[in-house]
Amino acid sequence: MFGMRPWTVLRAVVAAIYVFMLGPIVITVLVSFNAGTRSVFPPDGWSLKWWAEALSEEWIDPILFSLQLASLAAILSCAVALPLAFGLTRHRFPGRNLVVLLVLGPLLLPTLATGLGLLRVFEFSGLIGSMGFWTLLIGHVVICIPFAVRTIAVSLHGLPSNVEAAAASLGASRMVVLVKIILPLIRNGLVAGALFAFIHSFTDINLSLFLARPGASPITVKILGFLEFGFAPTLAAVSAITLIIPLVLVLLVQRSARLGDFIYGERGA
Amino acid sequence: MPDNVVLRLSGIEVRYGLTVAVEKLDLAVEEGEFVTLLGPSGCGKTTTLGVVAGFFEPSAGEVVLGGKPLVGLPPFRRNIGVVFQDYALFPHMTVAQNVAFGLKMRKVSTPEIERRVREILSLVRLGEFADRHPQHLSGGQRQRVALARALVIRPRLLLLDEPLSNLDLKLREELRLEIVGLQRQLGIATIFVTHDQTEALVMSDRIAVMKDGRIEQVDTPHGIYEKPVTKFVAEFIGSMTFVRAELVEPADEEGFGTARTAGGRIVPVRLDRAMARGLPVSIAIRPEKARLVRGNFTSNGIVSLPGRVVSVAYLGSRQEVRLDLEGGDRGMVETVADESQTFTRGEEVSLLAERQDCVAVPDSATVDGAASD
Ligand SMILES: Nc1ncnc2c1ncn2[C@@H]1O[C@H](COP(=O)(O)OP(=O)(O)OP(=O)(O)O)[C@@H](O)[C@H]1O
Ligand SMILES: [Mg+2]
Repeated sequence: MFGMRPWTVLRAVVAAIYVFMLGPIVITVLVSFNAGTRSVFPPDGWSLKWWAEALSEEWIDPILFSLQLASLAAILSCAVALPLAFGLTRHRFPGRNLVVLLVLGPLLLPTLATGLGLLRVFEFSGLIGSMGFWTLLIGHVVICIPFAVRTIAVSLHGLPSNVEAAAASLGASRMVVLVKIILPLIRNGLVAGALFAFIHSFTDINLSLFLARPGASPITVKILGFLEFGFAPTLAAVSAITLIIPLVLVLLVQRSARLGDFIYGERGA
Repeated sequence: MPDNVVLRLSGIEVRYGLTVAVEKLDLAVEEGEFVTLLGPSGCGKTTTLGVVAGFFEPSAGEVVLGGKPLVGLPPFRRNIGVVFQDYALFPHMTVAQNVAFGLKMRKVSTPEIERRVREILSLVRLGEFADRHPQHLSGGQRQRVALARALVIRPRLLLLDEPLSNLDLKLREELRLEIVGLQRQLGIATIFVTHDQTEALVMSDRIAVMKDGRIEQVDTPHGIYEKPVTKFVAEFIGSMTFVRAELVEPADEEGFGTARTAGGRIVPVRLDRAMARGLPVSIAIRPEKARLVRGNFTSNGIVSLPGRVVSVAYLGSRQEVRLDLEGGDRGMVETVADESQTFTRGEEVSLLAERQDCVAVPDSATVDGAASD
């Protein structure tokens, strides 16, 4: 039967994947509009009171904290990733493989291991006492770098050959070639890298668990802490907010940069 | 050498790791001259251009442009226009912005930039495409944008790396003439790279034939065609009959000597250079300079090589006859295709040629140090 109607089967599988991926999200959003105090589905009435609560200071503060953290992590990881991607795509140097490993490390290792490692480093360097936003930021930059390096390297590979040589022959110094030719042409890679880094940071829980401190907790850590007391519809509303933010960003960016190029390699960007 | 030399390359050598891409290369380009580097793929043409433009540093040798040594000077200080095979236009800029780029780098005033961009774009007949992006142009149009972009900066030298090889034949023939016309009009010294012999013959003032990172011969198209100095050059340009031989009598005052063919025949040959007695050579005969007669024919002062017809290719007014020559060499004769000249496969014939059309060339440039005259 599978042999006879492969496309039908494939369609069914894809549909199932969508249901399992999107189903919980839809349910969460619907539950957040529940009128009762219990998180039941389908909701036993409609109200916005959980949303009012979710938008109170208690929840908005960690959301803003996460937004700042993710924005800075995105910018900084791109800033670090740009020279790294250059070095890795343009040069064969001794120890190149080691650098590749170091860059990809956070992607290959469980974030737990990275978190533990960073914690030890902060301990040894005496930063442990003053841990907070900045140490979290360092950690997030570390785990976001692989994403940014990857998209930027893809863009660099896709640069048309000889445009840099052409610009140089026309009188452009290396700096001018970078600013006027390379950066505009790898813009999509930079934007995609920043976006992936932002989302990765914004949704991270593993690393943040190690590095967060009272008063310096991303929203994910806060949600996890709250879960110990059970799942209130407030959480559904808060989760909905944290879902919407990356979603809106992706939609905004998708309008100008072709993200597909970096996810399923539609075309060298 | 006359002193109107713009560019002089001497003793250039380029290595990529262990491979030697260019070796002991000397070349001088004069003011306003159009010089072509011609050679098979991988012979080092692009590398040579790269050395002139400053994209690669040679491991040995000197590059002097307008009296100033260039080695060590980065490309952006050289004032050399380059057109690449794939055009290398900036995809994020319009045609006008592409062309203006070099002028902006030179801090030319905006009105002056606008004027010069308009002028050069109308010269390459692209005036109406100024605001298009390169993606929306045809191959030939992109090529002309690349040319305009390189010319607008009024470079000391223009380098063209196979600029026509991505275009179809008709466009290529058109653009050949257009490029040469533009080059003459602007009087700009140019090095053109190609592996297309027709392109080289049609466009160049002089041709440098390259092989394995070396220049085998530099001469006018006529000189290259009529007086090839090595077998490689003779083979690369046009078609040729080669008869293996050994030099018996070196050149007399008139430049003629004799050689013994592989078939054991003693024939008179033209020698364009001094060669030692006993040197293995090839006797090179152009197909259009040879004649065919039936049977075995001998006459004084005329080279006659007996053979058998292998194939006859009819080309309308002319025909191409291929032969197996005595001694195992292959021959080719191009003649008019009329009744007196009908030959059939297997027929015994003789290939005839005047002695001045039988050039003895050494089998390789290195045997007699051909590059050292
Ligand atoms: N980056 C490189 N690394 C190693 N070897 C190279 C490199 N670039 C060129 N080469 C080698 O140097 C030699 C000359 O190359 P070059 O590109 O100058 O040839 P070319 O005459 O331009 O050939 P084509 O007609 O194919 O463009 C070749 O043998 C080539 O393999
Ligand atoms: Mg080349």
